[in-house]
Order: sequence, then structure tokens, then C-alpha cells
Amino acid sequence: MRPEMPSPRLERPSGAGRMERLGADSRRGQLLRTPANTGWRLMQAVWRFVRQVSGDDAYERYRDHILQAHPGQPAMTRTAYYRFRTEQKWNRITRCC
Amino acid sequence: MNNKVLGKLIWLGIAVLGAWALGSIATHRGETINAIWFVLAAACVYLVAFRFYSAWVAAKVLTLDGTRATPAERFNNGRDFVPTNKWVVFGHHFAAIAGPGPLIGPTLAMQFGYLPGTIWILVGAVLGGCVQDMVIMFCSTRRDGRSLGQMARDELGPVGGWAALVGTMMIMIILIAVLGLVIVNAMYQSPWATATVLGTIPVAMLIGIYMRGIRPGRVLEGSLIGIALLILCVVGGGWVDHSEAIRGWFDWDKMSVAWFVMIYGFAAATLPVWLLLAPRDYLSTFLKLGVVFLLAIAIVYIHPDMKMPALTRFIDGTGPIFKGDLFPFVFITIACGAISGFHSLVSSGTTPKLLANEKEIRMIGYGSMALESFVAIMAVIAACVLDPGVYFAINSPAGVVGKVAADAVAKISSWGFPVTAEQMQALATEMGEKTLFARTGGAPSLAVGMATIFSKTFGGTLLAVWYHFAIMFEVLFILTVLDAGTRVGRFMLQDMLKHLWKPIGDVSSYPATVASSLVFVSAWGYFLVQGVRDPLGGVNILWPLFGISNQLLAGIALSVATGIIVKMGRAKYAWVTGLPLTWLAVVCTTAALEKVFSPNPGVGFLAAASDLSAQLAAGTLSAERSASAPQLILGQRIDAALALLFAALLWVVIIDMLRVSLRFVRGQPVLPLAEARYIETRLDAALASSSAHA
Repeated sequence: MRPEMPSPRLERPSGAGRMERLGADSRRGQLLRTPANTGWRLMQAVWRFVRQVSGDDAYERYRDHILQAHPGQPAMTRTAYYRFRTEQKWNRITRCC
Repeated sequence: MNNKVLGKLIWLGIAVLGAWALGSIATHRGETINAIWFVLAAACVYLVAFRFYSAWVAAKVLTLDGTRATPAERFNNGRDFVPTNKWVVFGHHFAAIAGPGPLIGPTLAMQFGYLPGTIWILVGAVLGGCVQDMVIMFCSTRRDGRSLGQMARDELGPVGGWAALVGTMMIMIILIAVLGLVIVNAMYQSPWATATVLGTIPVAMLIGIYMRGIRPGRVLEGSLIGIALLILCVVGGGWVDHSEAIRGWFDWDKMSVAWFVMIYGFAAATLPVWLLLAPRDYLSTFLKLGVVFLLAIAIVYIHPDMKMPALTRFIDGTGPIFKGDLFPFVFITIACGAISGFHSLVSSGTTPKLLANEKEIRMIGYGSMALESFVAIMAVIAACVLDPGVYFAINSPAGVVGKVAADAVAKISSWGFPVTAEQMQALATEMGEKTLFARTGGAPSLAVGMATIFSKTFGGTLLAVWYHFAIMFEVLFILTVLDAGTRVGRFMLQDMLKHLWKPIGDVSSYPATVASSLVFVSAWGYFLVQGVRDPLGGVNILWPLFGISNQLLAGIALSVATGIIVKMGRAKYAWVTGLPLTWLAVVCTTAALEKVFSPNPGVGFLAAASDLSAQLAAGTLSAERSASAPQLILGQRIDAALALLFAALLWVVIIDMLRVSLRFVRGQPVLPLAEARYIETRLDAALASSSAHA
């Protein structure tokens, strides 16, 4: 098996923003390691996970992506984005038996 | 070094524990067996298979490459192509593939006893279903997230592509019809269930308006409010049931429920998605994941005894729930949970657009299916904790055991599964129903099993509320497939018909939408009504057809996968998908031929049709049955034609795959491998995997 790539790269392409943020968060968590702090950070991580997996933060992620990858381009409003995403999701097979 | 030794010891321990648990299940000869053995055996089998087999497939057969940029990275548009945290993708993928199938199929298959079903679920999943999902996800990821149909066309040619398209369309029609039938059997003459399910529709609309107009996109808020309202619906249904004045409004016969299901399907496919379909899906997904999780904990916590024998007398093919021998029908009845062709539609096209790294295919493809298989094991447990007599009394249609309670219990007891009318009455009263006899389809007996487990876990009370909660959970689950399937089926139909008449293909045109939805709903509605009219309860006709169509789709997916593996130059590993494909081809063909040509009218569609026409001609039928007989006869003949079509489609694709593979091996020209060219990832792999801390 090929080893996973170890070194962080200097040049970051468009769209790597989220990975970068999540990674940065977990590294920051290692700096202050008191039990209370760890518990709090764990809860935050769980909350972030729940929001992401349910699609609760989908708009924020989309807006961040537009801001980072296509600066200057207008992003859809929250309402427009929700409508767009809902339409798009249900135009293909997304549920099984 | 020490860690390595420790790791090996732990895996050896898991393997030994799994083998011991499996051995205990297989050799057990007693009145009851504890459910914890099933949980242990299943968990160990999945863990060992995931750790070793899936790792081998990933490394040797597919050579997953962590340095290769995925479609999500290359086409990242912040909308459908988005590199996403692997646990989030796992959650999405599992929520997408886990439907009512792995709950219902195993419940029905328990008429053979727990052993055959359990073995098939475990072996079928680790060697078949998980492999299919993983390999198809890999193929689609290497092809810019293309769908199964497109891959079949690109890799095998137009014949394969066309067969995949027709196969997908057919499975949707049969799937929706049989699931509709399950709803009918769970809701008819049950005012509590009917009122609860009806209540969920305005709740969904309310949440739809909330999430679009009031607090746009606040999914968690909206869903939490919705779940609270759903629980109110369950309680409210109980109130309706206890009120003599109102309960009559919700006391529907089977045909009325069938009409409700069809009208609902049509409405959900034509109304704007944000109003009904999307919010209801959020609610049912939350409920689904919550209940599955809770059930797992409850089963481990109360570790109930399983009362079903390992094998019953019905392996000879005379079963009351469906007719047919153990081989091939246990492998047809349990499709989802062991291997489900439908998964290949989600594994291609949808999930690959979210993968941040190719290596995650192993956990998401193989791992999610292992988890779904575990859901099927839980359904096995929930069915087997019931007294076998009770299980058969709930699941046997009146056409087999008789309409009168005394006849039914006498017949079932004579099979060696003692049950009394008083016992059934007491159970029905506890569950808040008038009667539980002949509530076929699997959902009610599963609900009784789940209610028993949940109620025991929470102190032994509120059985009736738990029962109707479980029914609502199952119905919502099914409605998700029904409305999403009707909508997608309508798009597929429009896509096909536009070649004949262009305007029908316009998905934004309202008349085209209404017309194509009507056609699609009528297609599945025809089979649903046939199932409702069938004196044997319909499950005997529709569930095997559904199983065959689902395995057909799996056969198509595995053929595409095998063809691609051969064309990648790895013909020596083609058995990885070729072995499950061979097995499915044998099972599917045998089952289809038996369902068409068996001289036993309980099994063969043609024999049933001629048997009924003989009775009609002889005038031995009641007036009511004579009236419906001609339609039933025609229906059985259409079913026979369908089963033959399924088998033929499967062989067309297999032969096409063999043709392409042989040409490739001989060095003759074939369609080129449609893999996207290698681009190195610029997403930092180390950071991507460390982001999985959640």
C-alpha cells in the first residue's frame, strides 16, 4: 500500500479550505490539553459533525467555498441556496430500499 | 513491534470469538438461543472481513490510490462535487442505502427458521453486497462520478447500457408496489396507525414551510420540531383510536389504503419537493438512524431469547408466508441486507462526488453495507423473539390459514407452533389493535418484536404506543422510498419517452410532469392493486418478484464491475466480483424459472393462472371471487412475463460482459477503459485524514 502523504503543502488549491480548517482545529486542540478543555472541544467537534452530516451548515460551507475559490463572484442567498440544493438532491436516486 | 504482536492477538481473538459464536448458533439444539450470539457472530464476521478481505480488495484488486485526485476535488463546485469529511460521507451513504428492505426481507424469511437467513445475511454481505458497493463506488469515482447506466454503456456497450436502464426502471416499479403493499397491510382497519400516518403529512408540510420560508435551511431546528410533532402524532393516534366518534373515519379497508398510497405517491412526485418530499425525508432519516441505534442498544441490553427453531418444516417449500423451497427462495427473499442491487445506484453517481480521498472507498463502500447487514441481523432477532406460533399467526394470510381465529390457531398449532386465540387476543389488546391475525407483509410482526424489545428496555410499559411508534417508523421509512422513487421514476420515464415525443421530456412543464407521473404511478399501482386483491395476501406474488429484480440489478452491477476489473488487466482477480455474480445468476435464474413454470400453483405464476381459470370455468368460485378472477389471471400472466424478462436481461448483460472480457483477454479491440486520467491530489492527505476526529 502507498503511504499516506505526510507533509502539509504550502500551496493550497481552491476548495481545500474546509479540510484545512478541520485539521487546524484538531491541532489547536492539542495545545491546551486540560480535561475541561478536551471535553469542550470534543463536544464542539460532535456538534460540528452533527451539523455537517445533517446539512445544517451546508449554506455556510457553500458561502465559504465561493468566497475562497471565486472571490468577487456573488454567492446565492441562504433561501436561494436551500431551494437549489433541495431541487438538485431529489432529481436523482438518493434513497434505497 | 509489541504493538504489532498485540494487534495480531486482538484480531486472532476476534476471529476465534466469531467462529465460536457462529458455531454455537449452527450447532445449537435447544428450545431457545440467546440473541447475543447473533450480535457477537455478526460483529466479528464484519470486523474480520473488513480488516482483511476489504483491505486485500482495496490494495490488490482495485489498488486504491490516495494520491489520486477524486472527482470531488477536481470538480469542486461547492454544490454536488464537494470533498467531504469521510465520517460525514459515511453517514450520508448509510442513510441513503439503509431502507426498509433489510427489515422486511429477513422477517419474511424467518419462516424457514433462523439459520438459513442468518448465514446468507452474513456470507452474502461480506462476499457479495459489501464488495459490490465498494467496487461500484470505486468504478464511479474513477469515472468522474458517473452512474451505473452510463458506466455499463461506456464499458460494455449499448446493449449493457440499455439493459441497465430497463432493469432500473423495472425494479423501481416492483419495489414501490411491494412496499406499498406492506403499508396497506400495516394500516388497514387500524385507526391508530392510519391516523398517525395521516398526521405525519401535515407535520412534514409544516416543517417544509418552516425550512424554506421561516428559517431557510435550518435543518436541525426544523427536524427536531418535526420529530416532537411526530411523537405527538403517535399519541394523538391513540386518542383517535379510543374515541368511538372519530375512530370510524380512520377505519379503512385495504383498497382504501391502497388508494391513499397511490394518491400520496402522485402528490409527492408532482408537488414542489420542498413542501412534502424533502422535509419528510429529513424526519424519516433522523427517525431511521435514531431507531436503528436504539434497537441495537436495546438488543444488547436485554439480550432476549430467540424462540424460533433453527430450521422449520417449511424448508420443503410449503411455507404459509410465501411458497417455495429453501433454495432458491431464501436468497431471493433476503436481498437487501445480504446483497442489494439498488445500492449500486447510490454508490455510483451520488456518493463518489463527495469523496475527498480514494482510500475512503473501503470504509464507506464496504463498511456501510456491513452496517446495513447488521440491521438485517437485528430484524432477524426481532422476528425470532416472538413465539413462533404468534409469528406465523401474524404473517400467514387468511387465504392460507382461514379467516376465523379458531381455524387459524388450529392450523398453525397443527404445524407444531402452538398458539391460542386468547393469546392472540391478549397480544392485540396490548398492542392497541382489534386483531393481529393475518397482518402480512412483515411490518406488523416486526413492530410487535420491536415494541416488545423497546418496552422491556424501558420498564415494560406503553406497549401500544411503542407498537404504533414502530409502525409509523416503518411507514415513514417506506414512504421515503415510495415518493423519492416515484419522482425519479417519473424523470426516467420522461427521459425515455422524449425520444418518441419531445415535449414529454420537458421536466419543468407542468402537463408533462402530471402526465408522466400518472403513467408511472399507474404502473406500480397496477401491481399494488393486484397484491391487495390476491387472496393469498399478495406478498407471495410481489416479494419474490422484487427480490428477483433487485438481484438482477446486482447482477448487472457485478457484471459491469467484473468487466472493468478484466479490462484493468486484473483478470486473475475477476473472481472477486465474478463469484457473487455466478451465485446470483444461479439463484436468480432458478427462482425466475420456478416462479414462471412450477406446476405448483402456489409457486408458479402460469400454474396459478390456469388453476384459477379452471376453477372459474367449473363455476366453483364464489360470486365475489369470480368477479375478480379474470384480472387476477391476467395479472399472474403479466408477472410471469416480467420474471422471464428479468432473467433474460440478466443473461444479456452477463453474456455481453463475457464477450467483452474474452475479446480483451485475446487482445482483440474493445471499448477503451473509460477511467479519468491520473491527476495528483493537491488536498493534503494527512490533514484530510486527521480531520476525521469527529
